[in-house]
This record gives sequence, C-alpha cells and structure tokens, in this order.
Amino acid sequence: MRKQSGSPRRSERGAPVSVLPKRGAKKEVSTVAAKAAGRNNGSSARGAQGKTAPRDGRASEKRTSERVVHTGRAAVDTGTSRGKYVYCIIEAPDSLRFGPIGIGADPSDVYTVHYKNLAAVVSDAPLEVLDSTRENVLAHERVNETVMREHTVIPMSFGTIFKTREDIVELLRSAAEAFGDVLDKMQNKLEFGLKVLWDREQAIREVEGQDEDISRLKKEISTQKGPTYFARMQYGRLVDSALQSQSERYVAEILDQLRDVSVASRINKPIGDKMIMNAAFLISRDQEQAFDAKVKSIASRFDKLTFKYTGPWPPYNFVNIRLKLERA
Amino acid sequence: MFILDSLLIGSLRFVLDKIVAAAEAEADDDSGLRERLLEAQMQLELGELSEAEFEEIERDVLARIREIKGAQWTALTMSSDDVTVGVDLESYKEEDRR
Repeated sequence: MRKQSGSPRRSERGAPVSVLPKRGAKKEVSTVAAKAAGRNNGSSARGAQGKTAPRDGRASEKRTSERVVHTGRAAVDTGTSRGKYVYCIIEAPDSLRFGPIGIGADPSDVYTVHYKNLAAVVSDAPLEVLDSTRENVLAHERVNETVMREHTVIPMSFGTIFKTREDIVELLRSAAEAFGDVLDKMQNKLEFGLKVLWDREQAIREVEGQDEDISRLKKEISTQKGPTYFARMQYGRLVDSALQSQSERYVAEILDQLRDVSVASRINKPIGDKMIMNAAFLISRDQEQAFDAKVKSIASRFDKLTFKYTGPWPPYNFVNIRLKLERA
Repeated sequence: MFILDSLLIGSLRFVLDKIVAAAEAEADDDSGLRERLLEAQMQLELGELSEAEFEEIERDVLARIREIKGAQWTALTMSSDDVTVGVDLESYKEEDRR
C-alpha cells in the first residue's frame, strides 16, 4: 500500500491564503496582526518542557543504563569516518533520491535506505557532533520539507546520525510496525506553529488602568516621600499576577477558538518574556483552510497581540517514538 | 531569520533506550543553553539584537553546548544482536487538547 500516493500533495494545496507559506519557499513566519515584525521566515513551536515519552510498564522494569551497548564513540574517530545522517522516516517501496540538499558545507546527496516498504531519508555525514547553527538546522528542515511534499514523514530530531546503513535497516526492521502505525496516523496531517507575543509595557499600563489596587499603589509610590520599599514590592507582585492572569485569559480564549479546527495541540514553553503562547497544532488537511481562517480572525480581533503563524511542518510535536532494546 | 525551535529543543524524541540515560543527562545539561539560543533568535527577529550581537551569542552558546555534548556524543548503532523489547509510540491523543 502506497499511502503517499493517496495523499493530497503539498503542491496541490488550495488557494494559498496570505498567512500560509508559499509553495516551495521557505516557511514563512507570517505576522498576522498589524504589527508585522520586520522579517518573515519560518518557525515552529517547541519548548523544552514538551512531551516526554511516558514510560510504560515494560520499560520501567529495566533501567536503561543496565543495557548500555555498543554505541560507537564516534568522537574518537578521525574526521574521515562517515556516518548516515537521518532526516525522517517515510513509506516508500522503491529507492528515492532527493538531490544534493543534505546537511554540510558541501551539501551531500539525500537518498533512501530501505526495509520492506519503509525508508529512512539520509545523507552521508561525518561522524561528529553537529552544531545546531542556523545553517545546519535549516538544512535539516529543508530536506524534511522537500520530502514532505510527496510523503507523510516521521521527522527525526536534529543531529541524529547512525554509524552504518545496516544500523538504519535494523532500526526500520525492529520498529516496522510502530513506524507503519504512526505513518498511518499522520497521513494527511500537518503541523502549524502559533506563537503569540505581547507588548509587556503596554500590558502593564493596561493592568494599571484596570486594577484599582495597582493604580493606587502606583500613585502612592510616586507621591510618597520616605521609603517605598514595601509599596514597590506589593506593586510588583500585583502587576505580575495581573499580567499572568491576563495572559492566561488570552491563551485560553485563543486555544478555545482553535479547538474545533485542529486535531490536537501542544503548548510549549514560551521563549523570552514577550511571548505568552507557544503552541503547535496538528491539523487535518481538509481543515487547513478553516484553521487558517480562524487564526486570521483571531489575529484581527486581538490587535494588540502579535501572532507568528508558521507551517506546514512535519509533525515534530506530535510524534514520539522510543525503542527499547536489549543486547541478546 | 527563522526560529526552528522544534529542532533545537525536544522535537521527535527518538531515542534508543540504550542511550536514553546519556541523552537525558545531556538534556539536563544543555537545555538552558538551547533556550538561550532560541531566545536570542527571537530577539534577533524582533530587532532587539543586531546580527553581530546575535552571532556573538550564537558562537558562545554553541561552543558551550559542544563542550557538554562533545564528551557524551555517540553515533547510533544497532545490530541484529539487539532485541527490541518494546516500542513506545506516542503520537497525538485527545488529551493533548490542553
């Protein structure tokens, strides 16, 4: 069964709405609200506090450390030894080539390694730690984006390198069923990122205007002679908690609006102090336009907030596979 | 400018159990640095940092990540001697609606 052939190709997506990335172009951050940030380029959402695989019963019986096996310590190798960088897993019975778009200063050929009808999309790479520079991360994403146009993908984390082709075949073989399940589940699903930022200073002015205690304290601090230490402390606490509840209200309302047009969502840790929401949504292709329209309507309603809307991404936030291996 | 934070932090946590311990220890060590990098990218995008300032931070942070990772990093290997005793598969669930 060739799932990818049945799925609508990315190139056949409906009339592009301005907020969505252009075909073939790098994903764009579209700042939907009036306050367009100067630069537009792709982004997705993920925070450090994201999901972790729940350990099931089987897993917890054995501690992983007891099972340390022959993970090659590549760092000791000389620069000449080559491994295989893995970008994603797809379903593809025949071998595919994606051209010289791989990671590295001299982009290497991207091709597939197969087990039955599963394939890992790989390129040859030195066996060494890969820095997460923008260039490298972009190269990783560029490959996944290219593959995604025609296939449902299970994306790998940045920097996943296997030592040999055989290792990859073994990986596919040992988890073939799981990969098949996830590929089925992710068919016709797209991930979009939505980050929401606010102007913190403006938000503070607003809570000062709305909250009587805060405005009273503020007046007190500015007029009081003598020490204002306690008033300041109390003021700070009140402002913080007012900001917190205000941002929670925004986020709850935004999420609520998007619930009906998404399959699932993940809330990640916001980046920096301006961000109040850092979310990823899994969208069914047939709801893509509805989701898009909803995001735009929300963005125009909350005109004081800045929305960064990106995608489609491979389902980075919605797939998590963990293999448990034992050395025989 | 783009912020590919999915890739930098977390993302698909595809971990072979035999290296889970190492990977988790590593995440403890450098997640703060990764967040710093993302924050700098955000600031660059918002125009709060110049390209030069960003690059300085990036160089510094990457060097520190490399220091931590360098000691622990291993390429993944698997062989038919390895027996798969379980596959944890987590994709979206209804409970993800939070």
